Amino acid sequence: MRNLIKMNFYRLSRSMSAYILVILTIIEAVTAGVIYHDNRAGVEAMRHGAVYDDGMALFEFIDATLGDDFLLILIMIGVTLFIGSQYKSGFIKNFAGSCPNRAAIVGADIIVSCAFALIVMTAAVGATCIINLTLNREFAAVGELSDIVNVIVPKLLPFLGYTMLTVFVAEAFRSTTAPIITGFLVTLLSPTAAGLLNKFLYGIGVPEAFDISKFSVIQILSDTGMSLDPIKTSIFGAVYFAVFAVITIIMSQKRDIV
Amino acid sequence: MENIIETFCVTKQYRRQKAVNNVSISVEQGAIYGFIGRNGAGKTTLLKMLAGLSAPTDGDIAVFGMKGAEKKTVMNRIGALIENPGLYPKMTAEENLKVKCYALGIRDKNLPAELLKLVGLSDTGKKKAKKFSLGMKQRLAMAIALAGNPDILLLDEPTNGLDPQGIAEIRETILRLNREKNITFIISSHILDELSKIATHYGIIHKGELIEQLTREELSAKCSEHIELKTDGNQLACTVLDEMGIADYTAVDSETLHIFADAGLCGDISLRLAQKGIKVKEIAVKSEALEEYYLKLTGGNENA
Repeated sequence: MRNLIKMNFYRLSRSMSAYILVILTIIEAVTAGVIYHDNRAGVEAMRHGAVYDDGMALFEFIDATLGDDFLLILIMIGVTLFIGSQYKSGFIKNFAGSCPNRAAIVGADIIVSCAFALIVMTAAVGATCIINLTLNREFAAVGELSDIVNVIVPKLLPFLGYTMLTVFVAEAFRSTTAPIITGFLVTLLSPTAAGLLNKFLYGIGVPEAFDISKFSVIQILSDTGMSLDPIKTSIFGAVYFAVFAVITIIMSQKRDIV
Repeated sequence: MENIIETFCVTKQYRRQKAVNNVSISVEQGAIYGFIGRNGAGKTTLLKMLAGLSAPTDGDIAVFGMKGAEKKTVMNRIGALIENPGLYPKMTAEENLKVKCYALGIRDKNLPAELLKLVGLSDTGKKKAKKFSLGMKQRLAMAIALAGNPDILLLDEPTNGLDPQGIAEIRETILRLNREKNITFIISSHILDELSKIATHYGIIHKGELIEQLTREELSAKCSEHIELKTDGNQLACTVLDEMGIADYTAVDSETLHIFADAGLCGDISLRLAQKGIKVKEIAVKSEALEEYYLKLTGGNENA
């Protein structure tokens, strides 16, 4: 599997779309910082429960960046293009037969997809820090490092869980367009679907304290990091990741490469 | 000669459709094995199973005498070019080869350049694969299949869509690799004339079933010489042949007969026909080509 991981990293390094997606991530973070700089009063008016009186803290900017659906969509597109291209081009037929275990191919895809997700996440956090510490330095509080850690850590494993979900979709479709459309729908319509499902569940007698969206990794990633329990979300992310990884590996072993 | 690939009653079923049905073949080391069959006959499906890309529904495949889980240890000795050339279009030829080298754990950094030289693509530089001609793509795909120094190469329709120059280049490459590196080839094609120039063994597959497996020598013996006779009417010509005691002949069309008899009888036949006032338009000794043999075997005169 080590060879396949090396191969995938080489492919990723030659992929123009991967670079474009990382650049888009940085542009998104920079744009958010510039909007705050230019329209601070408007943004402040929309905020609830500000931590610092003199402006947003850095961890709040990071939290807002990590909770943005745009980041999830960029990761979904990147992973889908990366996995789908090997099927779409037919290159996988050049080496899949030589691999003693089909699970190794999927395993290498998962590892490099997660690495890509972490690169995007790091680029988002890094760009957020840089833009706000330069452009918004006069009114953005740096805050405690522990606060920054507290908004990143609870989302780390759910992020990888979401990445695994996109790997599953990409491996299931083995193309690029269909899984991207599916990924868009899953990411953007997840809250609506959860709302409808909740309504249905309450209708059949489930207590209203129950909220199905708490079991959605996308919902967790959209929540404010400070409000999340890092242990609970990490366990949830890990279980999510493991379940989809197992399903994807089993699915890949049962299917022919056509 | 040792059989390096054998299939034992292999079947591949998609829902109710059997794409390959109970096929048993054996391929000797160093052979150029030609799979002949019409589109949809099951050639690609069988090659995919041999390449390890799909699993048989029934039956077994042995590679270098190994079956089941053991077989996985020798699958890296097989290179495959199945269907279209599988290339990353935005990568150069060298980058495409590097991807395969990484996958196989090949550390020889000179290998991509050597393989490109071998297939005549060493001057492509930074040109992306998407800008290659179909012939160049086929040759690059063959170079990718050759990475890892395989003992067996599976080529699915390698000359499909190529111009005559491209076809000749692929043919020369196959013959050179077979001669110099003793690589065993299993090639599927429906261009029978092309296949007959290189194949040492043939497997004829029709509607998913292997109809016949034979060597080039056996085919030559079966495609025996015959006399082709064109007259202004078969009916009278047949009467003459019957009178001469020649019974083994077939009518190709209303004016043409194929007579399976000693070529030396040409003169006698012409003379007897002339004596009976039958006009001989043409009489010649011909030998049956692979295509005719294939059509006779599969019972159809549609394109292979």
